[in-house]
Amino acid sequence: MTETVKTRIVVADDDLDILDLVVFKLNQAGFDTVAVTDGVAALAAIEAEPTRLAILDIMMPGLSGLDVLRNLRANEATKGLDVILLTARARDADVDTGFATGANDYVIKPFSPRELLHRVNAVLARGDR
Amino acid sequence: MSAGRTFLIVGAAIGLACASAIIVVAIAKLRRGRVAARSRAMLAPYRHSLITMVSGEDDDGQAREALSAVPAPIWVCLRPSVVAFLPKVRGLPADNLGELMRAHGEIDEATRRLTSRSAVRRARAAYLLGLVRDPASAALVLPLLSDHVADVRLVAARALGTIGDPAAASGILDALRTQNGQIGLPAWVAAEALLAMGPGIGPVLQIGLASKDPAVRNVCAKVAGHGTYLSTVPQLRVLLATDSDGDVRVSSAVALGRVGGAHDAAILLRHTDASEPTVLRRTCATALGDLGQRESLEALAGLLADDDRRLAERAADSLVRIGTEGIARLREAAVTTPQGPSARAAGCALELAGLRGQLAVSLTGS
Amino acid sequence: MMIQFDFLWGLARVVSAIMSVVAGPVLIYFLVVNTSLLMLMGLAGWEFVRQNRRKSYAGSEQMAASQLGQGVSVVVPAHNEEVVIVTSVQALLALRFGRHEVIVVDDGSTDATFERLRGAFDLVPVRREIPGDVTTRGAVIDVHVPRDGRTRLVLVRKKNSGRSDSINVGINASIESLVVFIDADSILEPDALISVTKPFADDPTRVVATGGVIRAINGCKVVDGRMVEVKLGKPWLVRIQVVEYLRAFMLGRSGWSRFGALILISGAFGMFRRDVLVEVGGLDPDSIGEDFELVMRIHRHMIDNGRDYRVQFVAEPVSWTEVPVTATVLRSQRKRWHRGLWETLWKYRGMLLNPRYGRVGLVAIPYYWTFELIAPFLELAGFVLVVLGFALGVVSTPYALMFMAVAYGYATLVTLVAMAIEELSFHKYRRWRDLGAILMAALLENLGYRQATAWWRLEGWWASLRGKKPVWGTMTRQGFGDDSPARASLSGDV
Repeated sequence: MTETVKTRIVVADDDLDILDLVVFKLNQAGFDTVAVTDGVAALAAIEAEPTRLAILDIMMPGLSGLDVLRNLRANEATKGLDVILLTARARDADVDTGFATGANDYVIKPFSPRELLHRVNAVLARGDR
Repeated sequence: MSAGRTFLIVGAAIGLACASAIIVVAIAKLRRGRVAARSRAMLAPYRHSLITMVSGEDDDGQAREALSAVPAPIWVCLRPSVVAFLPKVRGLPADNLGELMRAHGEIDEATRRLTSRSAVRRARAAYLLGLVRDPASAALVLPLLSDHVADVRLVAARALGTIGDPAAASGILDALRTQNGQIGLPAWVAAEALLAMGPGIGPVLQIGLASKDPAVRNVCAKVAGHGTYLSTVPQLRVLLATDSDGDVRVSSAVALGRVGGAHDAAILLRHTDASEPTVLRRTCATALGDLGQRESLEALAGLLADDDRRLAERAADSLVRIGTEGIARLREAAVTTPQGPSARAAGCALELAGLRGQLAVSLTGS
Repeated sequence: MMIQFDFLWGLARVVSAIMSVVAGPVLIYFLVVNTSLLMLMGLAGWEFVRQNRRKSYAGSEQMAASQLGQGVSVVVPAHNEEVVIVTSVQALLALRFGRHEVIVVDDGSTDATFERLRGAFDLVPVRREIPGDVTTRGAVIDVHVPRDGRTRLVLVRKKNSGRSDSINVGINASIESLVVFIDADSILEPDALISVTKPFADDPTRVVATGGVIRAINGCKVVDGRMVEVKLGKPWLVRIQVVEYLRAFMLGRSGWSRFGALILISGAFGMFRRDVLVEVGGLDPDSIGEDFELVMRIHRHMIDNGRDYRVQFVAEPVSWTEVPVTATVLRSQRKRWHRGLWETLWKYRGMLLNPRYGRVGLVAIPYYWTFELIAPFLELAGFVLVVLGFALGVVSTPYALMFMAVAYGYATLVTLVAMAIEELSFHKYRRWRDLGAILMAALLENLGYRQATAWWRLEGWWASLRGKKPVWGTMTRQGFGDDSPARASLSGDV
């Protein structure tokens, strides 16, 4: 299957190490990755071009990942966007909130980059159906 | 000495001191700027290798080799980045990072520093070993639980938690003891460390629940409720009913709510009685919601009218969580005596449940 | 002409007579004040070094992700804060912490505060009951939460009754075991809650209150409620205040905390245990020295009840707030502060030099009486006497110079040492020109600013002694109202 257009993923995290890491991993896997460090930039990046998936950290200063998610789900254009939350918030209540707000998956830090890639592929595959 | 001379001396001293302060500021700033720029320049080529390795894309091992071969002066600058990645990833990348640290002698160095005379070094060493998560270091860090510096004990406990070796569990409980008027370890640090050790600590918890030290009993009760240590349930019941320490009873109540069975509903209900301390009553009310038993419905509904409004709030919330029948009971309470306390508590809980979308879903208790 | 000469000559004799008595004590006073500040600074510097080293193993990520740690309720009293409230609340909700809630108490705002919040967070009314743990005056009108039912934001609207009473309502509405009060126009560092909760986390049974460092936000670049770049404001008045804050708040208090006798937590950022707050009855709505009075009350309560407790200061910058830009606003602020200081110290005069109250009663409170309360009087008196005496020829040049050196030169040294410690530990001001400006400000402070603030403080004290009623809730708002041009430029340079 030849793809002329790479799948675009937006990654938002205020931690530059995580950003570098995830972007590299996804790029190696053939995605077109856009990295941003806060929620406002994330929304802008998502709206700028057709995006398939967003990976969001929750605890970002300013607009949190959950705020971004809420924004996306409230907007007709981005309602169906796949979102994976990548966060250190590991309490049950946090996971509940994450899914209740509309996330497709919830990955807790410390995380396995390989596992993250699998989950990205799985979420995208589900969306294709 | 003449007044004039005194002034000159004093004036000069102050002037000199001022100048020194200014010079210190200037030098500190200059140095910082230079150090930062220099290390960035040095590290640039290695960043790529580091990212390759940490993301698990280092199939041919070249990145790992390159990083292991880094000369000592550059390693000193690279080290903080490597350490920064350790708590962020797990799996093969984390193992690789650990190996990298070992290859540069960091593990050996840290092991040595565990017995350093400087408390800061001991703490940093323990922290590092905790980050690397090598099971072999648990035994080495364990002695630091009885260190005379509180900070070191704390870091050691956390490190043992992240390393995750259940053999360290009893050591952590021992460290809770108050030493020289100082608490050995904050309860929640111990609890989190124990939780991270997994199901293997069941027996240790059982022993701890019978300890003479209320701090130990408290921590064990906390942990019992967050994991699945069902073997502790009989003891939890006893502690809830009869322990002399209020915190222990509260922690036991929370735990019972999570791991208890059907007959524990009655026990928890008993302790919502007005004769019990406020905190315990409220905790039991919440725990009943965690337990989710039909048997609690009547009593919880009764609590809606209690003088303690927080208690009523929690009882109402528990009713929501019990499921359809609880919600039905709330609806009943909301319409009988509309302005009464029961109705208010019920009404509020129903509103919140509606907002959260909990009314549509039918959650059945066990 | 002759009359004037007589008058001057008579004045000279009076001044000379006074000076012959106080010449030595005046110098000694300034020596003691500045030396004690230097000592406190030494303690503080040591504390910073310790805290900084701790950072290498503190594991703040773990604290942020902690499952079992204590939760925090952030209480934000708000009156007519439509400009900043939404950004402020968003930033507060996004703070890095395991478990926290934000409680906004709308103190009868007449502007769009409520509407803005409602729109931004999709608030819906709920029939939530607010318990009466702490007695309050302003009646609660209603309670709102976001429609998703999960975002931990609560908006309580109530009738206007002032900041302290609003905070008390917030305490009642709070669920978590730790409560922190912050002003709506303060910006917090993302890790602020982690920093200020640490003392509670490390010593949960004893620590009852902590306070964090407040810095001046004027001139800083703030985007979306987040500090992006720390810069120094342009007006010299602001710069001098930055220097003041640096010295007095950060170091004076940190030193006291180390010494174990911290009695003043700045109102802009203080965290308390909820149960202790309820025990002592919350803030006193009638007291002008709100935060100060609360901490004193806590000290007295804990000591009276023989409890083992600690009040701790967190030596890390956590909160940024706007400082007055005009002399008018600054004046009313200083008048109010000093008045609050006086009224509170007087209210708790029973603790003064009372051995029952340990270090607090025997060291901290007397220190505050002498070097904070009476200080402006002594400073101004000394200054006036020396200047007058020198002009009239009854004070020798060496003495006058000595006075300047000890009163102002030494004070400048204290400030420079503060600067040095700041640069070595936090180095928040990056630009060379900012450091240079701070240096200038340290010098300029003694050329009129100190004297002016001393006079204003005395004005406040006098107003209190005359029994003049304070202009209450509105006074605070007017202050920020005057500052609105500054606030509007929060995202740029002042």
